[in-house]
Amino acid sequence: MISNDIARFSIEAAQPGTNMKSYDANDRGKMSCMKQLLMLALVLVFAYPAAYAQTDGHLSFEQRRQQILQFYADSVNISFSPSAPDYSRPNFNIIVAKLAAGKDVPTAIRAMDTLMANPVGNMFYIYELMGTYLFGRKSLPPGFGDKVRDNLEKTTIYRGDTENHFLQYYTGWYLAAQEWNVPRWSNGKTSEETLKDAQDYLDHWIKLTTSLGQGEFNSPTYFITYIDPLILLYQFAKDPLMKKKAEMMLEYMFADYGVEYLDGFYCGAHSRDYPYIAVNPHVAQSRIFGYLYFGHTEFRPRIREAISVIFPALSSFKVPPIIRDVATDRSQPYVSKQRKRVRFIIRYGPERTPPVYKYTYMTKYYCLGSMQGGILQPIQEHVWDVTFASRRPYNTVFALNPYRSPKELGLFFPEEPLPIYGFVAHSHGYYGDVDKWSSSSPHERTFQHLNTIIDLYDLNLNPTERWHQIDAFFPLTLNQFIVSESGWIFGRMDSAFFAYYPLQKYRLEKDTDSVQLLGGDEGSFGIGKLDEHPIDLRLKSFETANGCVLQAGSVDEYGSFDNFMRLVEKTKVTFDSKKISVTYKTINGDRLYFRYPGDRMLNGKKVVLDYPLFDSKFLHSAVNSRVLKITYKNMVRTLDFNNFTVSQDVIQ
Amino acid sequence: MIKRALLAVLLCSSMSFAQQRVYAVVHLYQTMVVGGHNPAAGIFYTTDGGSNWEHLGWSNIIAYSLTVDPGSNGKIMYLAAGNGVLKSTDGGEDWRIMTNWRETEISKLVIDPANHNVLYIATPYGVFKSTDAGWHWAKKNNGISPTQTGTTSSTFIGPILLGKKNPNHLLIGTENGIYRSTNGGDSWKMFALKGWGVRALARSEQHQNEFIAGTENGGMFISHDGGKKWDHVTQNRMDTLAVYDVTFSPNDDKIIYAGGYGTGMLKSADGGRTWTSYADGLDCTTIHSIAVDPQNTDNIYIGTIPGGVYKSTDGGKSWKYLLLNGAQIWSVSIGE
Repeated sequence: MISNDIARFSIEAAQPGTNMKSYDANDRGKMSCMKQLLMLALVLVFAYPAAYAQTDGHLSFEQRRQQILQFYADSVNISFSPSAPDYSRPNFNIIVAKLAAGKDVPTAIRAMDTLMANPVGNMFYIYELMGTYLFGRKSLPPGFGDKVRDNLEKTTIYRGDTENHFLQYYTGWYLAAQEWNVPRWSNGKTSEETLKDAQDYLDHWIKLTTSLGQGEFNSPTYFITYIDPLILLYQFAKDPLMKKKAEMMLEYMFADYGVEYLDGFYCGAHSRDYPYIAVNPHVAQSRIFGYLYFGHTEFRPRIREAISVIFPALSSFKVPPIIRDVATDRSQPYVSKQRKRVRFIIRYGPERTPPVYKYTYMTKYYCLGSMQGGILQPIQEHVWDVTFASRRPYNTVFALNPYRSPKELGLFFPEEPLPIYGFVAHSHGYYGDVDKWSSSSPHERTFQHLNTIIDLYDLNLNPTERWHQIDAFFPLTLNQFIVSESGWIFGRMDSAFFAYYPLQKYRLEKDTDSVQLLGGDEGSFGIGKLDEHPIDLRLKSFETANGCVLQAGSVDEYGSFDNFMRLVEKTKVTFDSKKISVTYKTINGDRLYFRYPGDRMLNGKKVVLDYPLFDSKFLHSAVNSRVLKITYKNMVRTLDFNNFTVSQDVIQ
Repeated sequence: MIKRALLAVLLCSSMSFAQQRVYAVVHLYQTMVVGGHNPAAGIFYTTDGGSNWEHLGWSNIIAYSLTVDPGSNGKIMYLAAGNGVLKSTDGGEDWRIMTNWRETEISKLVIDPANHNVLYIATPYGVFKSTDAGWHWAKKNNGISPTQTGTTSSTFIGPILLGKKNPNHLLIGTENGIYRSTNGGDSWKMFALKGWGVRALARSEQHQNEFIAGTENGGMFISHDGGKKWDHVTQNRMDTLAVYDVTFSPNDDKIIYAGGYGTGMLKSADGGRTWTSYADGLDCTTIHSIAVDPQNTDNIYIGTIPGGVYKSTDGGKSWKYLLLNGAQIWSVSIGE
């Protein structure tokens, strides 16, 4: 009973205080329990949270809009009790849903008064206040606009310090300043000055993004914080040109999302991701935006911050069909190469905003995506993963070096690097935890070609750096999980497969740390708690020269899981720990050579990372061109940000 | 006649003491949550030596330091903050943001003593200058831009020192050493301590050739010859300290104070040759800012991270907690 052997191993390994078994990748023949393939058909460790996983059926965009608005207007009773759960406390998104639906309007107005009476006074507040007022004003009593105006004359607004903060801040002020001609806002400026400031920043952001890419790019978490302000500008900017700019940027953002979209999941490498999303793409905030605009996924309104979809659902903005096609046609695999920017480096770096190179291989059943590695964003970077198109939770596999250092923070934050650590650890408690599942590391580099990735680490840390290990995430929700004596670790989730080859000895244990770190609360609505049991097997490896090779596949490519494993077993990984290099011939016959940190060879030819902003069968944009071409079949849609025009043509 | 004169002096002195304001600028609270309701940050001040404090201006801001225009009787103030430069012309009641998105995370503002309309600000993106009291700003990065120096550290600006005799002669401490300008910031050249993250820079009031620099990664350096040669303070492994503020005692430049990450109050009474660390009464030993009372140099205020404001009345040997525990006090200053 091979299955029982591995099952017993996993269970034993999870017992606190027991000795973990180490699998030495270089000495596999000594382990009697690994003399043959060991297979575990893992049972789902918890039932699907059916209460909030509703299928979309085949609803139209209009029907999905109405479904979303109706859900939030009906499902939440606003409470003013201090002991009320978070989701029912006054909240601009719920308020505007109710105002728009004409449901509980007096309560919604009282809730809005409550929020304005005790304003938070930051970038989130100003744009949500303005959005709620503008979308909901038909249901607000006469003179309510004066209250909003007066509130912003008195309430000082903190601008924040990230790209999304600035967009929200200046969008909020733009909308306020165009709405009312005021001699002095809380910022001390007139409406005219404030509008000019806001427009100046918005133009700058659009130009920078379309010239060199976003710095806070492709984030399943923060994507929504760009869409909402742009929706407000699209819907309410009185200047037709600003409205046009917002519409084009929305298309740009959704095209960017669409090319990495797989059944609702935001695939590929991410600049920023919370750990609970990194391990479970099902609960990404971006997903409900995918539901609204692309369909093709479940309606899961209770995930955290999903209520940010209410502004878009109220808006008349629609994604053009060609972008929806890009997001949903997975009939043929494709490679997407992209260039983004590193968040502004304020010290310790040779350049202010060096390029980020992304490589994504998309198929019908899975997506393997990566960026080159290194510190490209602080704290929440997600360098690579394979995401499976599956309704099973925790549908991803990836590895990382859990890392923290004062220098990492000093690269991006102006505070003193040593004491700021305490503040960051407060805001992002996982940052200081060795078991975290989001991390940027200067000691990691990747090389991806199609469905293969080589992930190398040089864990030669200085005394201020932590930690000297790499961790890999294998979900317990896999259908099959096999540790082969050949050194490969195989897994299957529905129709997709992976083979993971650890380059150094490791230990594999049922992970009791993740759940605690992830916070145990998936949803703002208190529904859909993360399981209290372990969700993954965690691989840990502590050698300095380290890494893995991961080969992904599916039934489409290799017929069956058995065949995939058989083909992978025939391949050979050669690892030179002194050079930190790998030579590998993939199951497709491509010869890869990768030497840390940046020597990449494909079939004998040097690979230079020098991608345009977008390069795939769907999206094309050259650096500094400010033109994005969206192509699908015989159609091409051109977004030209030089003159803010959109054209769509048939390719002859 | 003599009695009357003495009385006048005493009255004057006690009036000035009564009107003397000590400012503490709260950067943020250690418990701050971006987007949440947080305790009041920004400017706090006392006029009674620290017994009572009041909050001034914006409470929801990431603030770094306050500069009061000398001679304005405390009316004209500039707050260096995350949102940019905020200016008040009525003693802090009303404020206006004087900058736009380009100028952000301002850590310090310096006023040209010869022309109060000329202002310099330190940012993580370089130096900006205004010649019209803050209404317009120009970036002044010629010679320090990353494309010229090969590192973004050269535009991460900390201290700005204006020349005593010629305010167009400036020194800036950067994350890549000290740069010098002799033309009001129009261009910069490497001056000293290349590669060191200079977080603090002070010059003696009595001897213009005496400098001390505090660094993020190497403790302190002292120069006695106007910056040509710098001596590294190596006593007791002090060359590994992160030092955030240094200052000469106003009336005696043999006495130097310094503070940094976990250092307690470092004091030298011999011009920087030997140092003693004092922490009696300090619950928090990370000191970010030091202000010595020029009227009584035994009175010293410090801002700590994240332990609030402390005061010493014995020249730094012992300390009394005043307020704002849990706050990152980015700067303390004494003004009108």
